[in-house]
Amino acid sequence: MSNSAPLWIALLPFLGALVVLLEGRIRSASPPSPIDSGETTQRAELVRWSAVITLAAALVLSLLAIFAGTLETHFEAPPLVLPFGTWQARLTIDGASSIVLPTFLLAALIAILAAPRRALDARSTAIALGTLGSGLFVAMAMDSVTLALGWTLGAALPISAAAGKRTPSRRAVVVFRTLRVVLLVLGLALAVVGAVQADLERPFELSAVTSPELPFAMATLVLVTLAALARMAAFPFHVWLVPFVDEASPLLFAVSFAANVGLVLFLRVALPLASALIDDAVPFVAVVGLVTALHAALRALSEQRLRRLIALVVGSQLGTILVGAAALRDQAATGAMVGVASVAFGATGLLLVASAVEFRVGSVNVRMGTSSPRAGVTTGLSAAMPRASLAWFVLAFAVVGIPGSLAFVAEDLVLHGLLHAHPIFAVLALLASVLNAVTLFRAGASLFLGTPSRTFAVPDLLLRERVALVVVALLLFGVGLAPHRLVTAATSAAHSLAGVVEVEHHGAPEHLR
Amino acid sequence: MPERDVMLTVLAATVVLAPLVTALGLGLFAFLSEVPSERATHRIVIVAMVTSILSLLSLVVLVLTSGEPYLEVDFGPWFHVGHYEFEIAFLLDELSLGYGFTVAAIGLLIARFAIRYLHREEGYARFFILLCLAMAGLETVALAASYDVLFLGWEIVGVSSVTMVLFFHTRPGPVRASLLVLVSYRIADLGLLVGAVVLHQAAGTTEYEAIFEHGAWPGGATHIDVTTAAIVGLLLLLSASGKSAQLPFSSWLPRAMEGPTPSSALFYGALSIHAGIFLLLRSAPLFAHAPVVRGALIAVGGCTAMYAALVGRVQSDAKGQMAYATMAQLGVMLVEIGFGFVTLAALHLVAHAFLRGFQLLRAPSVIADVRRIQAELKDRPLPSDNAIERALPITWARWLYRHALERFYLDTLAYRVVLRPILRVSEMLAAADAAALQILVREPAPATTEPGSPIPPPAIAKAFEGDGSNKPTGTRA
Repeated sequence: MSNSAPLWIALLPFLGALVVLLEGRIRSASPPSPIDSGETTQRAELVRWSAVITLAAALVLSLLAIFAGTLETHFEAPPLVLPFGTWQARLTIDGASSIVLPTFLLAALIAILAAPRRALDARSTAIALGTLGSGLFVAMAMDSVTLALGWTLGAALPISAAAGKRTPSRRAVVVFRTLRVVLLVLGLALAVVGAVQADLERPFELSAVTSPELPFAMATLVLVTLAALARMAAFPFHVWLVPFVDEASPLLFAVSFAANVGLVLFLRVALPLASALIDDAVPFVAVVGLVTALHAALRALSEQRLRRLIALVVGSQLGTILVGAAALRDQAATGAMVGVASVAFGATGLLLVASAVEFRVGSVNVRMGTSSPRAGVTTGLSAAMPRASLAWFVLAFAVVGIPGSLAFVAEDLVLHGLLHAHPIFAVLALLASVLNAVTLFRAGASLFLGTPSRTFAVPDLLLRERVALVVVALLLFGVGLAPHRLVTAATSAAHSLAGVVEVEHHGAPEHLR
Repeated sequence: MPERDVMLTVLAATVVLAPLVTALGLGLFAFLSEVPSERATHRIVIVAMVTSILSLLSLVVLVLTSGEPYLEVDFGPWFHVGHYEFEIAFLLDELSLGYGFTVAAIGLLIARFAIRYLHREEGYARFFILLCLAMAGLETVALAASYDVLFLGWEIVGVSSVTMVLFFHTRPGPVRASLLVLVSYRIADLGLLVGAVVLHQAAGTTEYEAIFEHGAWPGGATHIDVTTAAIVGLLLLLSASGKSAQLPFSSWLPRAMEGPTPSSALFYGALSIHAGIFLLLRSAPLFAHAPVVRGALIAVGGCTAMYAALVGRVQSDAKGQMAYATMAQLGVMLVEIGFGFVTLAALHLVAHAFLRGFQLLRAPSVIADVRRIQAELKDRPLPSDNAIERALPITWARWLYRHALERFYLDTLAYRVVLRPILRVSEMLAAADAAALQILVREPAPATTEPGSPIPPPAIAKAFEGDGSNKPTGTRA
């Protein structure tokens, strides 16, 4: 039975974007208010609440579909008969998407709730919402056309956020976004051509596209894998990450990178092909994930700009998630999916603190090893912003996997799965985690502690920001302390993945059991 | 469930949850509303700690009256995937209850001391919140029934310890010191984490009861093969060395004394510093099976004791001397465990925890104490303790003195061999990324650092290099 719930979940962010844009148009057409600051505040709050209402609706709908079981989770559009086969747009909530949907929606909701008013202009908020909606389409798509459309929109919308700017950084971002669209569209097109050649009735279905017997299956595998790696800023596609984070708003960064659908693409399209076609493909992806995790973690050690540093740590953690997913063991794959939620919430929280600081004191550079203030370096902020300081350290520890946090559960499961598949990878992935902990702690110590670099006459976190950060902390620690439901969902998703095997209970002598 | 089991479960949970919930509650209140008053803070904390210690004493009574050498309290799995379960359980035996009681008693004493000592300090509430967090972590370490659960407490102790070093966070010294502590802890934690996972692989569990074949501590044996036992043992030694400031992780302990006196007493004199020794004591049956590990224990402990005794003699400040004295005693405990004298080491641990905790609490009064002693002695000279130095040839004594002043160049070596290469690789990667971006867009890439400012060595490097702040201003050699 078909139901429109998945369609509405993906469309609601677009609807929110439309409302925000229309509202912005109406406001800009109206005569300027004599009290400008009040007008700006009102406008920002309208943008915020329009976005919040649509995202909350999408979140409730997704939770009803996943947990309450009151809604069917498949959407099928009327079939369109084409000369070479039938295309039917299909969306579904299953396995990985049941974790990704509420996670991404919640992360975006929190980011919008806490965003400073100055960051909430109609255009950039609409673009962020549209990017989120595109990601949701990708997460639920069961046919190649919907997948490609969602993927392309998700790449194109953030580019339009900086339309008019012709900076070198933006050019790099455009190049890589175009590359990842080309890779996926080409890969899917080849698969569809193969399916048409094989006379399949529905050549656009993902089940057809991921069939290893079709011609061009190997080319599809390579192209789709590369597209997924590019989306996750995996090595060597990581070059776009730093310029992107330099220019993107925190909200856009949260919905387009921290909430990353690259893994879903890898699990849904590349993994079935890889496990059937070549044995060595998956270790190759695991190696790429490991190199990404270590490279980003090492690179972050010498990074001095706060936003870039967060982006690199998130990139490193996505690398570890990729290693877990590619290990093809149920524990590691489960850990990878739990890790997606942990990274999305943790990165959102850290970005919120960073943007709260940046909106108060300007662009922030961090540096350690000196007690005297230097140009461009911010130190000793905790005197003015003690709550921001506390929030940073709590979130940093949560992100790097202090016991009780969601990241700990994810890390523990990935580690156990990896040790069965590739023990050396497990140790190296742990090293990346150690480096990330040092980086985040160092950044927090440099920014908040020590002698203040100047007098900061800035307010601490507002109540709205505090509540949002408490929600993030509760999600990270609350779900971390009671992860049963999430882990069960992730396990069932992991077991449904092609090639993933259950780890055998071995090694224990009989007398020890 | 029998009534006794219910009581055991509630009491065991209370030991850990009373301080943990207090820490989280006070922290959340301070974050959302305002910092609680001194009176409210210490009253809540003392109630929580008294509740914890009373629960622990009740557990002692229950175990003693049960007629069994130990009891296990099972709280059920935290999470599970397939055959793997993260089981939360406590083991109540003489070692866990003994260490648990030591932790609770010293924690309560230090909390009582800190009420007056930290009166009107800016971070008063922060200290008590971290104290409660540390107590919850230490009690988890003490009562854990498996390496998995022990690791939970271990990490919480680490986080609270690093944060406590930052008590005077506006000074640059504590900030650098905390980073050094964090780096040492995180590297050492790898040992425990990997060791636990290797045990899962080899034995299918990390529960002491299963691994040590239901033998009551210090007895018990293991049928894990010698190679695995040696690997796990060495990994645990690595972890314990980090937590208990043994070589090669000895640098952090003197610098961690940057916190207020009660925190130095709690973490680096009495309790946290002994967590590594507790881990080794708990794992003693495993070492019986692996002579390599026993040899390593004796070597590491012996070298650390010698090193700390020599470096400690050239320290001019009371806290510095006590830090090295602590390090030396812990080294001796390692040697005792290596030789198999685990009961002696356990007693040594408890006695040393109380003594060093007391000494550190008395540290601010040490000058007054010396003056009082001098007044009592009148014209008689102070007893000399440099008989060994006088017995040595002068060249040897000078050589030792110079090297002890420089802490035998261990910090410099660690920086040059480990940290500097890592930092260089990091900078090279940043430069490579910038070059790749430049090629891609054919224009200068965004700067990684502020224009015109060289990349300074991060605090880790600075901390390892030392800034002279820990060097003595006077000598006794």
